[in-house]
Amino acid sequence: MKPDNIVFGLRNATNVDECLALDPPRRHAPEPSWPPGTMVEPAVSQPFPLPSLEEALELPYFVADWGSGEEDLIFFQVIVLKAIQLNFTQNQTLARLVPSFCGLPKASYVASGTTGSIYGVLDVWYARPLTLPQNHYLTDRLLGVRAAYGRELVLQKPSNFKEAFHLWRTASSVSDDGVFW
Amino acid sequence: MHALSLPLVPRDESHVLSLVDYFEKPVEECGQRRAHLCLVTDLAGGIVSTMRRTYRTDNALPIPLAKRVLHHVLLGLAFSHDRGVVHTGAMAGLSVLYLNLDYNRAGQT
Repeated sequence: MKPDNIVFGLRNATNVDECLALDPPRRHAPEPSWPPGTMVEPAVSQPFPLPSLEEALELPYFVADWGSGEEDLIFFQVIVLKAIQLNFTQNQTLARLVPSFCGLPKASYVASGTTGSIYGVLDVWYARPLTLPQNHYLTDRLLGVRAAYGRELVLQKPSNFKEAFHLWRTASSVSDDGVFW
Repeated sequence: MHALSLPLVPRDESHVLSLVDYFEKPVEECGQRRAHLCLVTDLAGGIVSTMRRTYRTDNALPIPLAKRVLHHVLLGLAFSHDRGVVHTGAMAGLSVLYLNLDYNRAGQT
């Protein structure tokens, strides 16, 4: 989670109307954009004055950026595993079995040989912690995920969060009969 | 985000940004007509990354502030988990926060 995705509340002393009056909304000068011939005037970022450190220690903080938030976790896990299995079948690259992760009862498959398979394995590691109870989510997963990759996968795709997300998006378009659309 | 915005608890206690409303704004991108989804949320004072740049020259939050931010973020995640919602963007384990803590000073607080 980036600090950009954590927002802080307004100070009680902040007068929004006064801030807007002192610093009215502005736009940058027109500049060319795509497609050729298009001109845009982006809005100027005009944040509120920053609180002092003493004030910051009294403010509330909020988690933002829920663009990737998910409600149906069980479905998420099942559908991702289905995509992994489909990948194995198509590429026949199943390499070996690895121990379970974070005390989970089931083992996970590790495949090699194709980029898609590697992505799939990484997503399995992420998908499972997401389905753990809350206390596991905040403890075991954060401590164990890197070690669980093993050296070979870390070397190939370290900290591979974006790929895991993209696989999840792909998996969500897998139908019951294994057809992507 | 809608699921997290139900008026069950006061906003300051949920520690998640609430969705007030949303609408679509027609735009033209790359020669195609599209619709931008615009989210209306609570008015916030700013983002934590600006604090990092301001309060410390080494781009780290002071320990007391980092602890408060982390505490509230964890409360926000717990709130969302209680409602069956996972952020998924937190998969990095709040890495930015702990990577930027000043470990040499951690024992002093």
